[in-house]
Amino acid sequence: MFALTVVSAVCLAAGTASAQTQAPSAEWQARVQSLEEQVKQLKAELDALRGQMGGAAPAAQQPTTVVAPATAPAPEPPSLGGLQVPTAGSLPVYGAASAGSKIFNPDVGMIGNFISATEQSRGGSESIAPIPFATLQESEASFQAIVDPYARADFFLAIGEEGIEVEEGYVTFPTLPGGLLLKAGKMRANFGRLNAFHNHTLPWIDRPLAMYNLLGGSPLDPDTGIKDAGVSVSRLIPAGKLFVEATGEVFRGDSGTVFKSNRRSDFSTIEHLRAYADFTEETNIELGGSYARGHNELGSDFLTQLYSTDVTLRWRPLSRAIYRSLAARTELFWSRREEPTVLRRAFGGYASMDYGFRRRWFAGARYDWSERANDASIQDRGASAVLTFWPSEFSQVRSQYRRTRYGDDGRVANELLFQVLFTIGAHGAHPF
Amino acid sequence: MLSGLRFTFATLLLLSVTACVYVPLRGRPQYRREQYFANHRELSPTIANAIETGHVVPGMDREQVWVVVGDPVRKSLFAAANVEVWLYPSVRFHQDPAHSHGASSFRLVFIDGILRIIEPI
Repeated sequence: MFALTVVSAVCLAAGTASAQTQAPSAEWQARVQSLEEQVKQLKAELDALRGQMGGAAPAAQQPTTVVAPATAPAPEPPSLGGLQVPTAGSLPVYGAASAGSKIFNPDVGMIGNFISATEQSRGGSESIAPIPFATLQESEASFQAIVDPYARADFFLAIGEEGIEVEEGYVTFPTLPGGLLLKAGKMRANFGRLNAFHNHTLPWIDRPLAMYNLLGGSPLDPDTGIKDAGVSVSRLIPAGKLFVEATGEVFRGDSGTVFKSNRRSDFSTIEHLRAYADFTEETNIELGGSYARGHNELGSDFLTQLYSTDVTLRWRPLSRAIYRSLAARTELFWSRREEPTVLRRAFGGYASMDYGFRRRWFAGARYDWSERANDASIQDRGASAVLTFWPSEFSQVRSQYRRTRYGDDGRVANELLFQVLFTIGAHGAHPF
Repeated sequence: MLSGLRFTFATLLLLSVTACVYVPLRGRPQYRREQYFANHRELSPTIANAIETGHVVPGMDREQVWVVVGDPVRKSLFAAANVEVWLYPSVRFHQDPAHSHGASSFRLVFIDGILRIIEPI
């Protein structure tokens, strides 16, 4: 019995070994060939997908006997008047995945602006917004994208403790004939030097007194100035060594406390002329003049006219550009406000200087002087000292000592302001 | 002073001018970008990513800046220090929105052909 078992086992093993050395059946061969074809097809599809994403076909690093099949030749790019137009498949390798993934999404960013104030503000005034002890003042959400080769769109939502509003929302056409640049929508007016700037881009925590007193804005609106819905057209003017830009704007005529529109024809207009010149490779100067005209809250028969002139001088030594810089600016405003029995004239202005004394550290000072638009006998004066630290381009910490003498009752307010700015999201333009 | 109807007509006429715009291929950043990548395979990751995403960063040369934002509106040469200053309208940029929003122009400074300073003005 034992012998029979051993013999059977030997015969079985010999039969198995014999089967392993026999040539595979036709069925198995067909199945293997089918699997090989499927692998080839899948690899070809993978290569095609990588090619569409801009990736080069990966080098064969795996020990495999499968030969990469010849891919179909790339289609001839369409011609346009004899020029070859690159197809989407020829996008470069670098970063294409990230660029392609958001091709239909705008650039989204968020800027937080936290402000705190200490000491006594003495209540501010009816035109100058007092700063509370702590506030997340007007955080700003931005949405920007290229519409097509002829236009781009920008939206900026101001999110404050009182609610959300469209701070700016406009479409820009930069390629019009004649070198014109057209913007349409709601925007901050190109009046003077600072009016177009948002609060978080200023070199101080607050705005100069003259902007509150003469350029108006609601006392509850921290981002004061002229902002309205309308159309803006600008053009660069050849002027030898000067860089000159002229801007003309037409708005609806409703802007804070400065302009009020009672009917459609009560629109406001703003004209701005700006000239820039490089003295040397380290020093440049910019001059500007503006005029604004619109109807005030007294009715369609009463106009308010504003004049402004500004000068900005910059110095940045090239050898130490990240360690030293200087910016000095001054701006003057004149207001002419028609009332039923009188024409009220008022004047205001500021002068400031900001010096970068170390990498990421800036110190500044500003002097303010301004009359009130509706009563020039009331004069407000102020002085500020500012210290700013930039941990990076995405954040900023600033402190400001502000001393203000209010002209209505002689109050003197000494305040210490503190600001933290932080930015998240996209911050790059994607020209089409 | 224009009446409301005339103003509306003038605005519509001005906006309709956009239909007459023609932007040549050379004026389109995507075309410039693709042509540049086709002829320049070896790029540092920083520069390549910046060009791909439409940024201008220090360290770029003049050609790379031109690929991203096109021709400047003004060039100033300072031969003594081998410095070149390019001016652009801000509509072509949106760099560093926390500090540059509202700037109407950007000033780019090249030293020995390499971009060193990007300054909103």
